[in-house]
Amino acid sequence: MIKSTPLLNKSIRSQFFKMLLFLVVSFLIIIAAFLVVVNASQNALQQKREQMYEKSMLVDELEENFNGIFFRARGYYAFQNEQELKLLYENLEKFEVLLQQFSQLDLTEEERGLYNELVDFHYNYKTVTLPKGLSFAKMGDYEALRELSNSGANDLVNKFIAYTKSYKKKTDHSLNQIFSKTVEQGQLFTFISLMISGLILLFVGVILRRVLNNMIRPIEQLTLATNALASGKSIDLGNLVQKEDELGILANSFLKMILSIQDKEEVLTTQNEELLAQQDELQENQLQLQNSLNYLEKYNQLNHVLTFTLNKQKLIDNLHNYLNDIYQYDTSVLYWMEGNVYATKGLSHQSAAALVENFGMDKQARLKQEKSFVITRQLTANEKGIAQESYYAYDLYSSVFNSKRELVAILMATREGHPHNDRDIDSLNGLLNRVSIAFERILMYEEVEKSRTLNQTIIDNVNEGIQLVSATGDTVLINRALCGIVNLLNLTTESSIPKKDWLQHFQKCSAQPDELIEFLEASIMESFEETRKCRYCMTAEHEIFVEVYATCLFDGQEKVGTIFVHRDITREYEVDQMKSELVSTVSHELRTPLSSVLGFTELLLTKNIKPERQNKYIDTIHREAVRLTNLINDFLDLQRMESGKQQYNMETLQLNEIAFEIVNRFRHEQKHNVHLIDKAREVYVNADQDRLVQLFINLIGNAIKFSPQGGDVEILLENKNNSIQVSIKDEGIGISKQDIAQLFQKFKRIDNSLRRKIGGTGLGLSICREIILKHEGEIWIESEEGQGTTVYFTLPLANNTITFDEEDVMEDSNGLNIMLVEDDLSLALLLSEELKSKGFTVIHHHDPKKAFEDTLNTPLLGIVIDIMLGEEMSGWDLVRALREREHTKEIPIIISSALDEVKEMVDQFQIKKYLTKPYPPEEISKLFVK
Amino acid sequence: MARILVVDDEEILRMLIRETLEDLEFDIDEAEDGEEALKKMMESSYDLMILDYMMPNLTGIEVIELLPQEIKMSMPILMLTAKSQESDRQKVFDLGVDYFMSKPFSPIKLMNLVEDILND
Repeated sequence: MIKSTPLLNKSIRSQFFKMLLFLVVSFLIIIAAFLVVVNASQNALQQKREQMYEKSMLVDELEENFNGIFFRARGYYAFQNEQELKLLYENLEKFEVLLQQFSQLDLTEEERGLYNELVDFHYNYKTVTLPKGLSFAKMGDYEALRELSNSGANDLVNKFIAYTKSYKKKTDHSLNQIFSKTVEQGQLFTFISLMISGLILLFVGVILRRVLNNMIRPIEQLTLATNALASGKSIDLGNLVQKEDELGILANSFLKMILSIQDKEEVLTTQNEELLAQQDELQENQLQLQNSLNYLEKYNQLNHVLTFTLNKQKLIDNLHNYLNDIYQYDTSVLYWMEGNVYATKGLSHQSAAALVENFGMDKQARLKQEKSFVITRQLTANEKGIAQESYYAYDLYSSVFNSKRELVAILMATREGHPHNDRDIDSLNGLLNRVSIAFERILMYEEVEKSRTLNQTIIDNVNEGIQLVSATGDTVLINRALCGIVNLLNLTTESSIPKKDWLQHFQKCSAQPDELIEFLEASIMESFEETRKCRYCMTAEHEIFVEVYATCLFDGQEKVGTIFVHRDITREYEVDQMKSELVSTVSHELRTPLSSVLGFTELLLTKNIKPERQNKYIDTIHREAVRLTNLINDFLDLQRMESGKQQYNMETLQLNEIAFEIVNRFRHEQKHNVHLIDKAREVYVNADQDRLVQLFINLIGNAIKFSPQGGDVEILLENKNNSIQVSIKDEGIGISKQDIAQLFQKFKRIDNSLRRKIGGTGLGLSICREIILKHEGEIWIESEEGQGTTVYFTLPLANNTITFDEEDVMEDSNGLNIMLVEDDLSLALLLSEELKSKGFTVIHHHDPKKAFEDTLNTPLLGIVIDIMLGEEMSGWDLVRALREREHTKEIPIIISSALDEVKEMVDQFQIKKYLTKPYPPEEISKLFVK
Repeated sequence: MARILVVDDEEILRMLIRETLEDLEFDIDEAEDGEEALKKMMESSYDLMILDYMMPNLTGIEVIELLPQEIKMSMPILMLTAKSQESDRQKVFDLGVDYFMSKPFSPIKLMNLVEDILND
């Protein structure tokens, strides 16, 4: 593509071509000359050799023919064979031809002479000898022939043979000479060609060296220059530029290139500088952007917190951190008064709290006016630290007011050495106001949350089971009580329970599922104004009676759900049951005596009845009326006690006195032996006398009532711990184990025919229990069917500091029984107290008959008997009876009587002592202590 | 002479009924509870049973339920009861009781009723 320029006439390529052309031409000339010379000498030698060979061949042929001539001639001579003659002539002719040829060859002198001789011979032989010989042969003259052949002919033949022989030798010799000459010549030529080759090589080498010199050096120079350019050194191309060949051009171009590169580099450097400047600027911009981005991010985070957090402290901490990030305060306190939360930097919590507490009124007032202000002051030594010069601290006070113009938050922030600028303060105030809105939101949320929690707590703690059901029938909310009532624990309380599930649960656990499910379904589906209710019974574990109320929830006109309130009415249900049982019982109990009263009255009124029958009727009417009264009284008493309307007049009472008095009331019982054993040393109790009397009468009455066959009714008083224990023991029909538990339940009656016959309201024991509980005592029953019943009750002692060692009591009283048969209550008590104080147990009887029966059962230390006891049996009758019986014959008897001593009686019955009333009580104890 | 069985756990009431009906010259038998009443019903036949409703062990209702069908069909039952509510009365009638009288009752009315029943 590059057109050759005039410069290229001297180019390396043309130089190279010229040189190459010269070389090739001279080489060709040398080679051609050499070949011509060699060829010429070779040809000369060849010719000479060929001539020699031809001559030799010709000589051989001449010899053969020569010999042939003689051979044929002799053959003919011998046998006269014409054939031989003919061949003889042919040989002769050929010999002539050969001679002819021979003569034309280059002949030496000797050969010339030989030739001449041979020509002569030939002529002679042909013309002379042969015709002579032939004629001799025809004449048969062999003598002549032999002569002829010996005459001269033989000489010639020998001469010729000798010649051929020598000639042959000579020819071989010449050939050998020629051959060795050829070989010599060849060696010469080889040497010459080698020489020429060496010359040519030398020449080529010289030329190549020149060419290389011309090319390599400038290239090296260029390389150096390029390296120099690359390493930024100065470039010296020397004379290379003046050269007119390609390298020159190259050098020139290179130079130009360098120049242009240098130019461009300058431009580039300038541009680069500009770019660097721009880059710096961009980096700065980027840094600014990054900073703005950081701020934005922090602001976003703050915004996020402002929007989403519901934690006051977290909000304040975030705000405070943000402010410190942006404004770089050295110390700061952010105090939010509304929620009493604060955040600090560079201050301990105590000092921050103190700072907040001592925040002056004047500053508050100023904040109210200015919203925020800055106080500039010199740094204290403490704040300054190691700094030498004096710096200023800038205390910023900023505040937040709510809509009612009340101070809700204060920010106190100090910057040391850097003043706050107005723009910062403005944006800070804006931010604080925004935060105050968020803060109010949190406070509002807390308020709502508090009331929500309160509501939840109320709902959870309500005894009624609450169930909120959506319009679709799914349970949205249930409380704990409901879980307990309907045993819904297996269904999750966290999320809503699908309609199907909870209805299924109710269906499964309810006693009357169809009715309940119908009610629930209807309540969910229908809209109604009033509250509906339904009763059902859950039978999962225990029987639970539930009343469920359904109320619709309306949003405007649309029904949005139903509230079910499940109320556990098991207790009420049971009470209801019991009450209706009671009503049934009471009505039966009332109607029965009423029937008697009315019936017999009507009979009396309408019929003509005999007087004795009339009396019987009236007696029956009276008894039934009394029974009716008792029933009504019992019922009313219990009602009064249960409702807490019963008044108790508590006073300190002597329990044994009451017991004595009551036992005394039963002294006329025919079948029953009611007696009192008094082992109690401490008998004072705080009680209501009337109620205690009621208690005793009820229990002793029961004992008598439920032992229709009669028997002992023993009332025993003992001290147990710091109380007095009373037991009333009968020998009656007893109560079965399972019935004992029910005895004290109100309105319960043991329902068997024996008891039914005995009658009663079933309220007696309930009344007793009420009385005992009011006196802080206990009551219980031990019984065996057919064996009898013992009712125990305890009452705390009035002076409850006294405690009794049970064993002591047992030891002391064991076997120290003294029977007191006395119908005067006060005297009996007096004596009883005296004897007890000395450690004796007193068994008290009113009735001498019963006392007599009792002496059989109890080991006695002695008996104190009054004479004036009753109409049926006097004291003396008892004494007599005792003395007449083996078992009591020896028992010590003491008479205590208002009557004067009858000496003979005392002697007769071995009366230990006759005490005439009145006497000091110790008299009696002295007798036993001795 | 018509035979009447009086079943009541209260002796006084049995006496009252006996005294009331005494002039009418019936053969009056007594049972003090349901079991005894059933036993007597099996042993001999009666023209009327005066039955108390509320008794221990077996109530009047239970006695009726346990009574053989042919006896129930052939013999009128007069029930005396302290329960006077309409529902109780209905329950008793549903069981096949023919006559009902609530306590306290008028002996004269009882006498008249018994006379009417036995004359029918």
